[in-house]
Amino acid sequence: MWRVHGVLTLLAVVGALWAVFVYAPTERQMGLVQRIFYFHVSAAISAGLSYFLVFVGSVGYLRTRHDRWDRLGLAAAELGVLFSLFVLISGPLWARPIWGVFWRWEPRLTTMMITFTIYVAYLMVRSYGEPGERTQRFAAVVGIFAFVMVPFVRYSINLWAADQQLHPPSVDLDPAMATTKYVSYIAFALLFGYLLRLRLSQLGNAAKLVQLIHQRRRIAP
Amino acid sequence: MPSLASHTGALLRKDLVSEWRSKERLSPMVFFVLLVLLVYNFGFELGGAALWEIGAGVLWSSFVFASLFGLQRTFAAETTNDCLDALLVAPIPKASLYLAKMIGNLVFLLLVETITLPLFGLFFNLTPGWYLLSLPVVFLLGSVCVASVGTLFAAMAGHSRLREFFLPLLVLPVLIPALISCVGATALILEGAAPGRSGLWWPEQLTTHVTMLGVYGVVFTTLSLMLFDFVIEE
Amino acid sequence: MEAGLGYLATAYSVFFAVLFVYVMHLRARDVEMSQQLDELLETKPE
Repeated sequence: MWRVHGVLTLLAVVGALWAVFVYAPTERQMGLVQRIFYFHVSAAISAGLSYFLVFVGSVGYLRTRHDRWDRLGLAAAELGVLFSLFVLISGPLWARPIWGVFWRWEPRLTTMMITFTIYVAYLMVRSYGEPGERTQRFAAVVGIFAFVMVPFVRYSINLWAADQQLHPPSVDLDPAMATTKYVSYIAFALLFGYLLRLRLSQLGNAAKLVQLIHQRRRIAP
Repeated sequence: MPSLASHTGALLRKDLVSEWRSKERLSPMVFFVLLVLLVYNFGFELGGAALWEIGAGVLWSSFVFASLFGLQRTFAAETTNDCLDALLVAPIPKASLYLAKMIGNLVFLLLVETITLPLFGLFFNLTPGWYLLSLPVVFLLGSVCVASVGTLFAAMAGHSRLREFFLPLLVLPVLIPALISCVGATALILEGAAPGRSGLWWPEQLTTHVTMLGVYGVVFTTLSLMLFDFVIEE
Repeated sequence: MEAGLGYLATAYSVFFAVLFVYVMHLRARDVEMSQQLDELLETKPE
């Protein structure tokens, strides 16, 4: 299963890269830089999905108290932060040649920035908490709170910076571009899934290792 | 049979009386707000036109930062002598613990605001007017948002190695939506108070902001109340 | 629009760099766990 997933992911990513750099036509107004769009948007969607999974893991943990849900929360949060980081870096890199500035306090980017800080805080609650049930419980509470906040942050920021909107609400894409976009989505979905499984399996193994150590300590004086 | 309200009332009274005797949260918070306003004065030229542009932001950031200090101490009294364990074992609903702490924090915040707002007006030469009627509404709703979120996270802060960083790291990003509405509303009100302006006490767009704040207040409080149970089990 | 090329290249490089760093980090954890397992196997000969 691993192999298949891994190979598929690799193929998809390579395919997406080909689509992005070769297949997709160059955009008239923005030129080459516009190609950042494909991965930028896919990453944003992946980040959103991650945050949802953090919520699922948090709720699951509080209801069942099984560590597997807690591990889901952690792995998803890590991926969410990573993908968000890429969105926050690729955004300005795209913006600079087009709008002339690296950063504008415009709705989508600002929302992403705030969401990013909330989930970084989530990860900090975990890493700075004493390992154990309580930290997991606290992280779950933060995970639920964080996700509920996301729509409010989006709404508020949109109100606040309505005049600054630099992202067009929807664009009619050239068919080749649309295809490239979907290929990127698929590649990211596979990549996300692969990384999530990788991290989850590692966390699961770590948990087993800890259990083993405890068992051994009890037997050997 | 004793109700949620009576338990909450009892806990709240205990906290308020104890704070009234020691004043160890109120006084420092008031002075902190004043000091921050002082710093802002030197950081930005707040006299004159600037006041109407950034006064609201200055006010709210001072309160938010001061409130972080006050919120840290929410459960300070309960951590000594295993008070918290005693409270948890007692047959009172956990909700009343949350509500008592949250209302206590709300009261502190409102007191601080009541004391510092007139001073703010004094320093920056705000002429009294009808707008004084709408400001308390905004501050009340804003303080509810701060108190509700702050109380929940304050309960968790004591156990983290992050210590005093825990609360700011979590509360600040979460409060941003509410802060946007608070500052927006306050700016609208102050605009109306600017010399040469209509002096409207309820500018039209204020309703949007106030509604948002009301929604946030309800959402934050409900969510925090629900999640508090999970934080406080032991 | 050649100016855009630099930004484009940087953006995609960042993507793979971040990915690479994360995967390397995970591998380091794996190595660490492997070592711990080895130690465990040594201390209790069977």
